[in-house]
Amino acid sequence: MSAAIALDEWLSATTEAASEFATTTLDAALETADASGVLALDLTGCFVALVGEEGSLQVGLASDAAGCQTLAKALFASDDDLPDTDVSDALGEIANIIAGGVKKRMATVQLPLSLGLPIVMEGHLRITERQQMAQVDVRLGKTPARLLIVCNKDKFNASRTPA
Amino acid sequence: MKKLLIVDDSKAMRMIVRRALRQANLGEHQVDEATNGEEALQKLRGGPFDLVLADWNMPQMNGIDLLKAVRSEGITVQFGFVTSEGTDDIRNMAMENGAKFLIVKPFTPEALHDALLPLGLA
Repeated sequence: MSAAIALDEWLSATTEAASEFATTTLDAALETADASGVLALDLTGCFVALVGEEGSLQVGLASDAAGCQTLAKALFASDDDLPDTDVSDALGEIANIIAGGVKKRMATVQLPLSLGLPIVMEGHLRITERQQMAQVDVRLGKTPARLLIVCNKDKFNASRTPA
Repeated sequence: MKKLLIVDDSKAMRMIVRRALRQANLGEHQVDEATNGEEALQKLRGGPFDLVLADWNMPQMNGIDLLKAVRSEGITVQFGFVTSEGTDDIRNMAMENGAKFLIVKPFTPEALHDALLPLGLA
């Protein structure tokens, strides 16, 4: 299985997990249509590592400042703007839920994985020549967001054939 | 009225669990919170609780280590997980160590209600 196809599978699982989160927790749909080009490069986001025997892979969710506020307020059921600590906490929980969904969906094709703890980042994500990234822009309800997968090119791409 | 302990390092998730309890018509229960396993263990040593609702991945002491510590100290509280860990391996580990249920995030209030019903808490 090529690395490109494998990465697409990870991103597809991420999108499915994000859609489940949107439906269940936000009572909103995830949409991919008309979502591209809305978000800038510099975003706030959160990554959760999925660590396996062959390496680690990062599952991320990012949005702009307004989008992060909107998502956090939805989780906290708050009408008021939230402090950065609560926004980071909410982003971390969303990323954790999505990463957990990815782990569950990929359990049949990937060796055992462990979930890491969420890490919040701000700015432009740069990857090295040894890494690869896949991303898709979506809308969680009306909120634009970017789903990301980052992993090394030479690791974590091989998938064993499902039984 | 029963006494419940929500254990999660995320403030947002603790609030979501509280909200789900209310939405599942379980808002009459007294709810306390802890942010990790160690803090939860201290609270459980300090007084009787009827149910622990614990996350799995937490800093300092995770959920499964909390469950093992609770059982090793002879604390007989009912224990369930609310976690993003939804694989069979994790579920089996939870049940083998005495958990009553494992609810996978994202979850609905109905799922929480259905999990608490057999325990006499719904």
